[in-house]
Amino acid sequence: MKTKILFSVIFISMALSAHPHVFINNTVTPIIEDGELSGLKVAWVFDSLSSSMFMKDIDKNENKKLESNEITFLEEEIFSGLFLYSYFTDIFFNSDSLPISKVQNLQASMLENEKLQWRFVIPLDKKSLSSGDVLNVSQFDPDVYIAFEGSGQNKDSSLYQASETTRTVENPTWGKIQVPVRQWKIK
Amino acid sequence: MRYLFLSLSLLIISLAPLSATPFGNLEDKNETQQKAEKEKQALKRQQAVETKTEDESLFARTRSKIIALQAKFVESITTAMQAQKSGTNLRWVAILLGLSFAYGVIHALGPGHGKSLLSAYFVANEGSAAKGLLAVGILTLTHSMVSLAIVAVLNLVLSVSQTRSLPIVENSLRLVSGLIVASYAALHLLRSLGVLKKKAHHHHHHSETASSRELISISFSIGLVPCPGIFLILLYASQAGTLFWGLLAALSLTIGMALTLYSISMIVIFSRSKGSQSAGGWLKPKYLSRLGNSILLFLGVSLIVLAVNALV
Repeated sequence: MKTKILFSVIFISMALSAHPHVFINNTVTPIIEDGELSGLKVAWVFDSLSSSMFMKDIDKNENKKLESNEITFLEEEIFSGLFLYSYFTDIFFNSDSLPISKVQNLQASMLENEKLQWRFVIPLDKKSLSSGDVLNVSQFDPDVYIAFEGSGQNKDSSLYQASETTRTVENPTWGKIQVPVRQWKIK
Repeated sequence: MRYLFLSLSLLIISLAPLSATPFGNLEDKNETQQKAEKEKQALKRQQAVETKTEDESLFARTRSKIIALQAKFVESITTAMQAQKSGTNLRWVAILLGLSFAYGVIHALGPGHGKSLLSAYFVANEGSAAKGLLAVGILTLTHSMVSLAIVAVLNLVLSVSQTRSLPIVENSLRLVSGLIVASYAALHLLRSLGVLKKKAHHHHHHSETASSRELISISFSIGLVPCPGIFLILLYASQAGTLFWGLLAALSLTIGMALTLYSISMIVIFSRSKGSQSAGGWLKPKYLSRLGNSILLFLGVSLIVLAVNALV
């Protein structure tokens, strides 16, 4: 009995060992123009604590709004380094992995609920789309320093049918976690 | 034997390294460094997704649910702090304290927070309920006070980037902590192996029995690495103008963490005393001391490596 309890403690502790510092509610939308896929529109909304941490750095005049010089600072000093992490994004087009180029023109604003939002476009080499093509996108941090929490926000459009699945990813030290995968099927 | 196995399992739980922040300026690295880092990160992603998609274990699902739960905790704690702004409301105070306490319990189960180091210490040294309490008290208080001090210094004295200075401060302290712990363990190992001579007054005691002074200093050294959870809550509170409630939440969170750490320490202390009572052979205090100190040495060196990697 005692052993059982102890083993449960160990199991629970291991299950708990994922330890994100930053939580992001993310949305992703494909950009399709004239039947061609040209990029992904991404929006990240940070949790209150990390929003507050970033704002302390960015909002130089402390007016709780972000002016263009402050956004430039954010883009250079905080955001640009994420290129090395591919912006935590995996993109698959009909099971081909698409390369991720540098993001330009980061937009940032403070939402009404005092949460920081970043919006940016991940540019992709243009791809002409035909009916039945499938685009899969997942955003996750293998180190679980950041937890991406946006799910259930994928919407259909006249061009595609949107859905969501999950995928299990594994890090040697962290173990397995489930991350959402967004899917768009071209009509 | 069973107990020894349990203690060891507990030690292994939190060996997961804490990662450095991904946020930063791309230009801080030269092109070669950028390329190397990009390849390293890509490889990490690649390895992460090599798992078969069909394998949706209970474990993965539970873990993902707990991550989501932590996000809710953090949001509820900030909501509870904000609620105090429009007049102190006892119900919100209770919610704030309760949430922070529960978050502390969960938070301390994550990687870091000195669990493995403290457990290794209590494998090496005979403990008791009182000693466990003393060690955990000192460790968690230091752990939280260091975070408070960092927020105070970063926030009030200097106006430097929090996003980027926290990892530097954190890793410098991790380095100091690792150096102290590793040298402590190395010294004791060498003494136990007879390479170094024991100090004269040790002859009259069981050398495995920890003196309180030693216990206090080692707990303090382990606690030196700041708690990121408390750091973020205090930083938020100082900016949202709810510093008092932030401090109260931090205190409650510290007590929660202490509970987790105390439970783990007591399991180790209990297992050790059971184990060494019931068996002879390699469960002798001398061997347990060598085992515990070897693990401490390993963990201390890991802390140093982790810190140096992040700092250089």
